[in-house]
Amino acid sequence: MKKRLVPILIALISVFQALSAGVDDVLSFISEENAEGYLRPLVTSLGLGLNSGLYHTAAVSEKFSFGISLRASVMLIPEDHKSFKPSTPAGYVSGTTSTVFGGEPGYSYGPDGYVSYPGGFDVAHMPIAFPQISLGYRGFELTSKFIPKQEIGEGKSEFYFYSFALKHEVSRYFRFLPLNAALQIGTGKIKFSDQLEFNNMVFNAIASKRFGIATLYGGLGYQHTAVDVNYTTKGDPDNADPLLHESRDINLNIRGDNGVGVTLGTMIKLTYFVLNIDYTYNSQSVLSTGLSLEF
Amino acid sequence: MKILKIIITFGVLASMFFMTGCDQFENFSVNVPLTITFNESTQNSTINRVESYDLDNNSVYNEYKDRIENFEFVEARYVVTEIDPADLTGDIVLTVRRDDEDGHVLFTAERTFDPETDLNTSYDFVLTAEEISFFNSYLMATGGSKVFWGEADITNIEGSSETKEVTVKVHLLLKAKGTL
Repeated sequence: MKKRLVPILIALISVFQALSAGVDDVLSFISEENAEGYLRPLVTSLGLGLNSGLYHTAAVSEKFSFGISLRASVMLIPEDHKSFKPSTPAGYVSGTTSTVFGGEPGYSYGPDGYVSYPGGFDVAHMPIAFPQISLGYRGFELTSKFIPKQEIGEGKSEFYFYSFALKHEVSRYFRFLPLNAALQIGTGKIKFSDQLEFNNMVFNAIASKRFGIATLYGGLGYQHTAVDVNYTTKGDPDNADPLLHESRDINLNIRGDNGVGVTLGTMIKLTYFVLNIDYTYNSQSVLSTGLSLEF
Repeated sequence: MKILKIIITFGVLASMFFMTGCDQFENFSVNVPLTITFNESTQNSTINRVESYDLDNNSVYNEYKDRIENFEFVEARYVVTEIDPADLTGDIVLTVRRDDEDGHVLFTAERTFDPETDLNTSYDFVLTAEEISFFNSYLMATGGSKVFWGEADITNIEGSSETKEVTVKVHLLLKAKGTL
């Protein structure tokens, strides 16, 4: 298992390194008024990614249980998350421009020439993968995923992430129920770079029903994800946007669009091996799959 | 054996996710806007002013220039922003050239200036496909400077005061693409 995990972790950090480097460069040329529209879909995606794969059943063993899994999720970026209407200086007409997931950079023309906005990275789906462990006992299950502190990129930005979720099977108090039911609360953080730090909360109500080796499961969840953004603009007296004339420190808190979502999935358990796949309907759809070893 | 197949399938799927993600976030696309400003006053009936613009002085270009793989012309406009006296008229010829020995013309535009309709009104430079291709080849040329020479040639200047002053701006928008 360790041999498999190492390349996966390296690949995951590479994804974040590429993303971090790209976003850091872009932020130097974007005003605080437009950073929000540009970054919000990324906040949503990372929140959904961090919250994915937290469960594949509502059932929790009464005895001590332990699981280790490898999870991969992909957030499907809808078209309306690829563009936004930017704020423009007086005398300019605002069109639309790319978010971080869009393509071509937008611009508008006005009294001081061209005001330009950064382009996106042309992303149709955003992948995320991580190892996850779980410990269960007497109807409670603690799930955690994390990557220890790393220094990534030329700037040696600090990167790490962690997430904890506590699930409790409530159907153990209602034996007459024809299915298993559980409640889950989770929190997490992604220290993405020196400029971006994501914080996340999630609440899930989960139900599942076992049919032989297969289990159908579903959940209703509420998520709250926000990012603290701290960056410095380059400062260019020739820029047509007066907010970008001088170098300034920008501090923002941007909230993602991930609110209430619904998850439906299925898992198959063969001895100690569990394979699951699910779909989450939220502001961005999420496909998630995982392979676990559970004892 | 079945379990082994499942593990391999899962590994392949996960790898596909990662590879796609890495590729996507490596590509960037940015606009590079620039302005060449001509300001001149005269007591004669003609003005000829030449200004240069070095892309190395552009903050966006400087940030990305070592990683640019494709650099192209998007559009260009010109506008007369200030005149003195208010009734100043004249024939304007604007030209943008390459920074080479022959000063090859990249594009040009002409207009008979009427203050009633033209002050602070922008007009497009209309380029042929050949001119755009020539412009893009200059942008993509390796080595050397990326300097533009702009020339404002204004003739038949008339106005109600002895000294006449005019400010003309040429705005260009370029687009750069590359890999981070």
